Amino acid sequence: MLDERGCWVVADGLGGYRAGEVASRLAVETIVASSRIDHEVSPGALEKYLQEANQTLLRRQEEDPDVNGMRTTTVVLVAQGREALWAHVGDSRLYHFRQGRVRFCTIDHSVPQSLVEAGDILPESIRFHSDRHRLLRVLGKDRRVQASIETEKQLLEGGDALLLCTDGFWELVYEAEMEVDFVKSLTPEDWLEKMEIRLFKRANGHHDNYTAVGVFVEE
Amino acid sequence: MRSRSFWTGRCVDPLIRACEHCAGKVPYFLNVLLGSAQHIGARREQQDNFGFSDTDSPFFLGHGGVLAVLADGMGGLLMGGEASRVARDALLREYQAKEPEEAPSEALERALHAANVAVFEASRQEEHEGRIGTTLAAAVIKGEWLYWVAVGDTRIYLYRRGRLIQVTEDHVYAEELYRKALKGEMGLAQIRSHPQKGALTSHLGMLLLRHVDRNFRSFRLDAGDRIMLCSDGLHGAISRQEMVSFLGLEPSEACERMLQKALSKSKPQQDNITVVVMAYEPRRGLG
Repeated sequence: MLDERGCWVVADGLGGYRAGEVASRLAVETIVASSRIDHEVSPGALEKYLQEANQTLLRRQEEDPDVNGMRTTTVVLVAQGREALWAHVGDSRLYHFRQGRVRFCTIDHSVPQSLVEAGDILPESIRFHSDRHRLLRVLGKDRRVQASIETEKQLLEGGDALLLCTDGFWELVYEAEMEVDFVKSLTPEDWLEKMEIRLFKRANGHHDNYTAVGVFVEE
Repeated sequence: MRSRSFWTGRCVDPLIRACEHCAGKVPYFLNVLLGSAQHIGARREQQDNFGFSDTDSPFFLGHGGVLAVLADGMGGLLMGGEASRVARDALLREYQAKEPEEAPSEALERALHAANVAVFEASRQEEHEGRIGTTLAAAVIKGEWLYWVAVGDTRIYLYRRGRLIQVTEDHVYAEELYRKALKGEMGLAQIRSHPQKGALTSHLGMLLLRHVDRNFRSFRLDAGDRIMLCSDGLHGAISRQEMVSFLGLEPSEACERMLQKALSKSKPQQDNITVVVMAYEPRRGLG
């Protein structure tokens, strides 16, 4: 992704089987389409993509009562050359790895995350918290969505990696495992496969839906 | 049974040694504490062999860091003890031959292949070509960086802030089955009851190594991290929770306690047990 521009999106739908599926698909389609029209690595552009996705979800709920109550989380990465920026709503995460270590992780909009901020629980406890699925912000609910958008352009370095994933993924793969599997992998596909095997074994066949996207920055 | 604390240096403070190249003016700081423990289990032969690179040469420590190696000879094949000894010796010899310019990861890779050739050559001499084999895991800590290679089911773990993760993937048939299960081609219950689930899919002594677990990029350690190498005699006998409960201790005590825990289970076919712990402690000894 040296000279190229790109937009990567992951969304995790909520609200009944079909409604959740529609919500996440609509959000991804809207964000990808918006980024194709005016690709820009700026907080303003990300804000626009997310508000458009939110509007799309609200409109769809008005038109179709079957999907009323559909919601979705989302995490978006946009990059051009070495410049990158990201935004998220809910508990889908973006991890930024540098020199093989997690350098940054988005902060969930969830009940357990607010307990971390209040000092009631440790960050490591989010994974196992009984309220971990209670979200404080989602797409498709309010007239305006309050997204967390990185305010400064992030300069990527060769050898950096980014991981976008839903809670079904990060709950079952520890950060140290993401780091270990990253240094063992020559391609994003290798990396994702190694982590998926860990997830699969740990879940013992009882895992939820999960999605993960891996991006390597060329050396 | 053998268990020892590794520190036998001449210096006053075991963590700070005078560097021979600067005539003692600059203290050379050793950032790794080592521990190990070994037991024959309920077997007739000790087929595990382990060792460390020379920690008495500050010059070598400076460019090669500290290496630990553990090999577990395959009992089903001939001469398991001989195979793991040959592999360990060749790996240590080759790694020790590292020049300062050579990167630790390259030296490790070279040493692994030398160990593989050495096992293969030993099998030829004994006219058991390709029929002796051993697993092997080796880890190097140099500065804050970790490098490793592993073949077979001898594992490397990372213990970080109270959590234990398996660094290496076992080269056993079950891993191939898990990949099938992931695609929905078979069930997890079938894997657990599969008679060949523990069969090694890669080991030293095959002319071509089928799988090598290694890092292609440097892995940075945090102060307090522990790297554990152990043979299946340990990881087959005690649980991860049990390992975690001991890994916060001093390395030699942690090894001893894990060994005793495994023996306390009195498994009738208890395999040879070997465990090595490397503790990355860059701040210890600096006051």
